[in-house]
Amino acid sequence: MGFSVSGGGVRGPQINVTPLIDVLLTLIVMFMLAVAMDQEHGETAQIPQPDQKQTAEEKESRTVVIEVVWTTKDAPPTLKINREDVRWDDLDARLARIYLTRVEKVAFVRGDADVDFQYVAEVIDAAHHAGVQRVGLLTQGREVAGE
Amino acid sequence: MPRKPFRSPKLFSDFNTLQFASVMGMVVFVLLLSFMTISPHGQGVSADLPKVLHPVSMPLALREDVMKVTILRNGRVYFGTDRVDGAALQHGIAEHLKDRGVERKVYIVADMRAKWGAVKIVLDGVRSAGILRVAFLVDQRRSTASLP
Repeated sequence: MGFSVSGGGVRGPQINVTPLIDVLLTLIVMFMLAVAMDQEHGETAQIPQPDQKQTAEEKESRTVVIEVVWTTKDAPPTLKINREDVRWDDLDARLARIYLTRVEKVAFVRGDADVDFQYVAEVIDAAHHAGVQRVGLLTQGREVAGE
Repeated sequence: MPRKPFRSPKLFSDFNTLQFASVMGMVVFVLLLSFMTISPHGQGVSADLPKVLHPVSMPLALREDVMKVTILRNGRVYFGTDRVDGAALQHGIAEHLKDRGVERKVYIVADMRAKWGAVKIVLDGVRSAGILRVAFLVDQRRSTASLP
C-alpha cells in the first residue's frame, strides 16, 4: 500500500494519501446509493366534480364523508364521519368496519380551512389503509355534496 | 540475490504518486460534495412533507416532466420552480398539458403545516385546469406513535 519516500530527502515527510482516498471513495459510493435508494412516497386522491343529479337522500345513504373540524389554535382538530364524532385513535378501526361490507370503496374528505395539512394527509392515509380505493377531496362549501 | 524494488530512479521518477494521489483525492472530494448536496427532492422548492404510516411508493413522481405544485407553510404556491397565483397556476398547467405523453396528474408537495385552506385553493385551480387526479407527496413515518 504505502510508497517509499526514502531517498527523496529534499521534500521531507509526506502524508500517505492512499487510505484517505479509500475512505473518500467509500463515502462517495454510500452517498450515491443513498440518493438512488430514496424513493418518493405519496397518497393519491381525486377532486370530484360537484354532481347535481344525485338527490340529497341518495348521497346521504351511500357516501362516507370524513370531516376534519378545526377546534382551537394549537389543538389537534376533531374528526367526524358522516357527522358523527370519532376519536383519532378509533379512526382506523372505524373506517375498516365501515368498508368491510361496502362494495363502493369511495370516501370523501372535507376539512376546515384552518386545519394543518398534516391532519388531512393523515385522514387520507387512514382511508387508503382501510381499503378505500378512491378518496375525493371536497373543496367547496358545506352545501355541495355530502349534506 | 534478492532484487531491491524501486532501485532505478530513472524508471519511476516520471510518475509522481503523491501528486497523482492528491489530484485524485481532490476529484473524489468534489464528487463526494456534489453527491452530498443533491437531494432526491432536488428540483423546486422544499417543504416539510407530512409523515404518514402507509404511503405508497411513487416512482413516477421522480420524472422530470411531471407537474409539481409546492405549497409552503406561509401559503406561497410554486408551480415547478416558479411562484404562481391562482390564474398563473391554471395557465401553467394548461401549457404543460399541451405536451403529449404528460401524465394527467398533479403532484402536490404541501408542507405539513400549510393550511388546508391554501391547499383547497390550489385544488380548485387544478380542477379548473381540467385535472381531477392529484397525488400528495408524503414521507414515511417510522414510529407507530399517535398523532402529533
